Amino acid sequence: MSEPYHPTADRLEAFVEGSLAAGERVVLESHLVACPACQARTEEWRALFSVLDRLPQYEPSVGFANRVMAQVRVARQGAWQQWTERANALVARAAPKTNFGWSLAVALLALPVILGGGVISWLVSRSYITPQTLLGYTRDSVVEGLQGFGSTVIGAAMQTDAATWIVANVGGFINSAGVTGVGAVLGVLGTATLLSIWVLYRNLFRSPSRESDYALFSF
Amino acid sequence: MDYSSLTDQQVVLLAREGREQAFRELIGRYQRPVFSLIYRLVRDREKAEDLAQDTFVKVLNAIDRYDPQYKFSSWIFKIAHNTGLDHLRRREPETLSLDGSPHARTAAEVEASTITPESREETPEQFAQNRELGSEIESAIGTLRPEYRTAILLCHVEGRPYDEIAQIMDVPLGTVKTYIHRGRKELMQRLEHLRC
Repeated sequence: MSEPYHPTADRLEAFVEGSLAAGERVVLESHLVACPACQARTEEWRALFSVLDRLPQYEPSVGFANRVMAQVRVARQGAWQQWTERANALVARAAPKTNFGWSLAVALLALPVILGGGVISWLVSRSYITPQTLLGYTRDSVVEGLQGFGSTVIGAAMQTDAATWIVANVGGFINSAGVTGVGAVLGVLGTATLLSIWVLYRNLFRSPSRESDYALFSF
Repeated sequence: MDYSSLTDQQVVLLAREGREQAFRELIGRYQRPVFSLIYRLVRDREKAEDLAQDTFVKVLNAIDRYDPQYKFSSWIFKIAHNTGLDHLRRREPETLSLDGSPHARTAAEVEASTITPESREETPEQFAQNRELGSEIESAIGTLRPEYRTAILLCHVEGRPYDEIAQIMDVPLGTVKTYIHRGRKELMQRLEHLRC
């Protein structure tokens, strides 16, 4: 004749705690009806839970709050600090909350860098295109394109001193920096692209077991 | 303004605006739970007062850095737990007694470092029995590893769910379950002699 089934101490603890699955609970309850030994062990667990649940909280001595407050810096926030805090809260709410969200945001940020960097790299690699001619062509195309749209607003903006200054200075930078300067800018863009690809790879194609293993990056 | 009807998060926002009453409200809400947890960890009333005070000073002085997406209770319990653990790691190994700290030299120090559960309304006989039981259980809890102790106390005394305890103790959920399970088992063994 085989030994009768008796639940383990762990099962009885889970039963008293209420963390057993419904099916398991029914099986155990029907066993308890007919097993005084397990009933007694269940009561022991119940007694322990009851004693622990009734443990009192202790009170610190009188004047505790005053002693704490004597060491607390109560600084009234200025209007600027309050606005900064609200702006931070707004940014925190708008920021992605999941790894997928971060991946999407990084991908969207990386897309123009990847496309722009790729096109510029390809163009500069052609022997018949120099940075100066590329800039000149780009500038002319942009100006012509904008003028072609006939937008009075954009047209007016391009004719402002600020627009002239930007075009003149960017052109000046390219002219003065030459191939080395443009190469440095492309290097920075390339690094940003590689970093973005790495973040995408870690988040989309790997399944790390711990949250801390996720690669997060924000600009 | 009636602070008692506000949530922790709302009181924290008022504290950030520099309202002293909001700071006092947070102290009032958490002084007993925080002190009780630390007291049972270090088992020395005077030291527990100092550590609980340190906990509140740390929390309230860093109130601007509190992230409202987490529960305030989790944050303050986490700092209380770490403060208690840091103290236990720093101090020399010693055997503690419910009858007071072994370092107590005067009657006042013995009294200050003795754990005495608060009395409830009950007959003298019940009081004596419960005091005995209370002492036994407090003594048994005192022998547990600090991690088991914190997990058991947060679960049973503070009624915190397992996932919040995991957040407070900065360990995975499974580890919390293990701590509580092992802690209860050890308590069962230590209280075996009380069974009828």
